Amino acid sequence: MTPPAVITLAALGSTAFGAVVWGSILLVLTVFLAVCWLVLTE
Amino acid sequence: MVSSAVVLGLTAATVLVFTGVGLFAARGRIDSVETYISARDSAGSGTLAATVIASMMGVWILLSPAEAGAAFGGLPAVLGYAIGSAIPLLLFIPVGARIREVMPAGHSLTEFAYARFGSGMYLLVLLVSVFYMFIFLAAEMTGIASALALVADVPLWQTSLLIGGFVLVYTTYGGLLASIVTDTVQTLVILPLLAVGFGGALLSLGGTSEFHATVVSADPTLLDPTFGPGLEFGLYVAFALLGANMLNQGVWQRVYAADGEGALRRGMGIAAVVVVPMLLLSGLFGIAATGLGLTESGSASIAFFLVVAEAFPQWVTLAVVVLAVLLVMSSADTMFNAIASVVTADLARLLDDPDQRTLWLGGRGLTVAVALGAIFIGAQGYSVLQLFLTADLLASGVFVPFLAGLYTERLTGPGALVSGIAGLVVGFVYFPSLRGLVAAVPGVGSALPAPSFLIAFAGATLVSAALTVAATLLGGADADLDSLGREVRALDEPVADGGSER
Repeated sequence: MTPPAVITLAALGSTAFGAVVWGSILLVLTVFLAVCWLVLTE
Repeated sequence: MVSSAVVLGLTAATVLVFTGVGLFAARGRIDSVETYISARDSAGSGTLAATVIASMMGVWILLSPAEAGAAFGGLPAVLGYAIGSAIPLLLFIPVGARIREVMPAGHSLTEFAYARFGSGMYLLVLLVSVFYMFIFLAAEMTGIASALALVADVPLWQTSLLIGGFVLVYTTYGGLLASIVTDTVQTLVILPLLAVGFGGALLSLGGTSEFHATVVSADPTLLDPTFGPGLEFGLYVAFALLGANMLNQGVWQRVYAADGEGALRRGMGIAAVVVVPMLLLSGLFGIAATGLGLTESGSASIAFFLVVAEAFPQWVTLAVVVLAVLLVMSSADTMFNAIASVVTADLARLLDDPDQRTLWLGGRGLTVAVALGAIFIGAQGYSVLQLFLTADLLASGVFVPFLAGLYTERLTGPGALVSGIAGLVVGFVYFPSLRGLVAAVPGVGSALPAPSFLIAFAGATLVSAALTVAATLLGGADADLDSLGREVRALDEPVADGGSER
């Protein structure tokens, strides 16, 4: 197996990449809502 | 290009609103130097999480992770940045609880260094932490000034003076309290702005599938989590961030601001959770810039803004300006007050029983001096990356023996000092950025090993840690941790012998 083939196989797939990106955006929004709730109820 | 008058107007409106928030929040509540530099037991878990996020996440999150993704190894480099930023916050959960237990009325990390180790280690910690915080501040002012110059051709000095000047107004008046309140509001604006901004940018670039295909066709290593150079960068940046943040007085102030151990645990934990996706998303902009062929002219450090200009209409650029200004303000107010608090707390010890007026003048005067210095440097447009790395390296060599003093009575001041200096020597020997300076030492040049950032940062940390363990095992019972709580007291507390209140 040539090095470029190894690299291509190791690269993050499209579905996993999408999950990481949208998951990150959702996590930021979730933390935003959690912090809002915690601040308002302090 | 967006009009510079519009960008300046928007920047002025943003800083005015938050200056108003800071002044209003602190109105009538700052009645002593103690309340100016300390907000003890005042922040619940939500406020603590918000202020820690805002303090640590400066405009650098729009510059450095994207640069890492574009020029230093793609996804693993970005992951190193993201995870490396979360680790110190998680570490502050047990360490913060210990700080509060050992020195319940404390204010600053240098106060602890002096009380625990004496003057040698105190001077080293003072030098390293103040140098790091000032470089952080100067880098923030330089970053925002450069960003606004890029998007709207705003002169560097106008941005630096406008933002630095207004932050100075509310920080000088309201101290740490104003910083924490504005941080909280700023975080509640920053988080949705980041999430919606990144989501919109991805959709503008054709969605994640299109984005992925573009990047992989340009260079598949950019999305390879095992790419060697990226892993190496990710590892050394994690060491760098760990040392620097453990010596960040802004975080120490917030450890004391937490309303109990539960708030400390939840606040730091929430902040650690959210910094990972924030930096990951920012870093992906650098990867996108490389994939789109936008960074071919050595412009990796502004990769984020290059993609925004490519993917977004001009009005969205203005939203990014607001985001960047908020990121700078929230970090700058923290650093203004943090640097001033280190010196103010020390003044109380160095001067012979100073009165409140002297401490007030010291605290506020230092805030002004620090701010003016940062505004001046920000207006010069220097490259501060090498200084930043140097500051990180210094912290990497010092933080282990420093923190070990919280846990063992057997580590002596000289033992901690020697451990820290030995770590620094190893770091400097391998540090690529200062190679010329180190090689100029007579007899050293030919003996130097091959330079490596990873060995420099990891070596400084691990050698200082190993020597700390050795010094602890060899040392006698030199310190009394129980007495620290009695030695360090609140600045508005009457002295124990019944003397006058200061």
